[in-house]
Amino acid sequence: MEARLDGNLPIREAAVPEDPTVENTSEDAQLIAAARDGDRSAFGKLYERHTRMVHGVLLAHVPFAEVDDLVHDVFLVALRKLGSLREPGAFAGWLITIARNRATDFHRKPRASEELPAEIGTTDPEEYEARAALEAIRSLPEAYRETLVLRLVEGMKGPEIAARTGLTPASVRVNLHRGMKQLREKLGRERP
Amino acid sequence: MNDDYLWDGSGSPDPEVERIENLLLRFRGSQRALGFPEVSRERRPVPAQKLAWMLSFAGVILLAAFSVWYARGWFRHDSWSVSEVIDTPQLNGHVLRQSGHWKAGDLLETDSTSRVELEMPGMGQLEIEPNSQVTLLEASADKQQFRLERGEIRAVVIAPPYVFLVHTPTAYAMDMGCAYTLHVDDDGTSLLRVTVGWVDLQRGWRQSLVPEGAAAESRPDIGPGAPYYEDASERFRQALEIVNFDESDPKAHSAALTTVLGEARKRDAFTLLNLFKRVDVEDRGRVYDRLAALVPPPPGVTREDAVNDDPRKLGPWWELLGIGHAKKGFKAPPRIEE
Repeated sequence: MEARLDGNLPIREAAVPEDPTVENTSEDAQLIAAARDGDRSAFGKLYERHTRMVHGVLLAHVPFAEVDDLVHDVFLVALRKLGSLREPGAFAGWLITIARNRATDFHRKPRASEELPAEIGTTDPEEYEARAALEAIRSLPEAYRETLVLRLVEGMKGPEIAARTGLTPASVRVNLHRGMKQLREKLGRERP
Repeated sequence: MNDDYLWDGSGSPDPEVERIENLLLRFRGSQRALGFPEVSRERRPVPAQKLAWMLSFAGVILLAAFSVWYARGWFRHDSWSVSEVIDTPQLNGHVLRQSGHWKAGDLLETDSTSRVELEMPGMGQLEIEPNSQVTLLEASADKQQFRLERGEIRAVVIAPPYVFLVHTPTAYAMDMGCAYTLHVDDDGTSLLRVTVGWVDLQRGWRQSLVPEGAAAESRPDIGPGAPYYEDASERFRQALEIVNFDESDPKAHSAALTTVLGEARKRDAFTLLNLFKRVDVEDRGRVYDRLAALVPPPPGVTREDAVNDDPRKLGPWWELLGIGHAKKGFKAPPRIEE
């Protein structure tokens, strides 16, 4: 079965090879069982396995300065509610849901300060360009935003993103391709 | 040029994608542990020696800056930061603000509409529910002690075992790596519900190890009863209440024990293991017989060991219940001054 991206880039649904960077969900299940038994180092390992993904999902929605605190919150909520997780294989998707909810909560609350626009607070051209690129990604449609942050910021590969988020590899590839196309257009238009 | 590099990093790098990746590297999340010991970090190979040096150097700088920032919060264990306030909870009689801190000696009170969420890096998160009265007795790196006079708290603890301790009028709840809810009625009766891990609930000689999913009640002048799963039969729970807290009528007590043993499922074996200290010597044999029928004892453990309530012999039985062992790898609990 062949799918096409924007009408010009062929991909194959079933042609994705097993990626060594994609961690086995059965290992998650073992760690979750141990964490439920009070083994905090097991929960620490879950944290390490999934923190980049949670960081990326949050970074797609909230200011960079707030992300570390919210990552902390997400894992505290996960630890507290670990007993309610019925399907250990769904742990990554469950974490993403918690992260998105925390991001939504963040935007609901009134705040004393807002993130500065890219041009304020830096004289370093590279820093400015980096902020502008992140802002540009955040301005993309929802479907492309998280996928691009996970790939370009957190360094996750497409197969890993698919495995963690529950999206099909084809969807991730489409999101990356179309998102990158729109990002190129925005940066080309907005670059000083 | 195709999208292979964007997809999985294979193929010839797309220069623009590579440039944006390098730009955005500064926003990447660290994989620091949240205060969980014995965490090993996986290291991924880097593609080129030069890049490795650049990343190492940047990493050292970031780590140093982060360590300074993080240590400031991490090593301050003298107060809990308020993370969420609903309505108007009171701290020492004054309205508690969103930016407030809770220090040793402070009394925190909520009324019927207010609640508070607090946190401390390296220790955990605490929620004070409505109609509660809680005093922070001690706040240090080695000990976080609270007195819950009435009301309800929800705790998620990431501190080492036996650092997080809650006094109630009828027992002491000592965290062993867990999340739990603790409710205290106006008469001092308390109910502990463990959602993750284990809690050691004790007073005097009475000790209950409460695993995830189980509950335990404590009564004034008696202390904690044997813990139980709340999905046990109604008859089991009613009879257990008599075994735990009513010794006024020996015949009724003995009959209640018969009901508990008869109604116990394999899942309730941990309740029976908690009963050896709570029943008369002559009844311990009955508890052993039923427990052995549900979960065969470890090799070498005899009925006589159970009658003698020999903790060294009975301890390994926990391992066979399929719910882990609360004290495995943990240090001994501290002595509590009454």
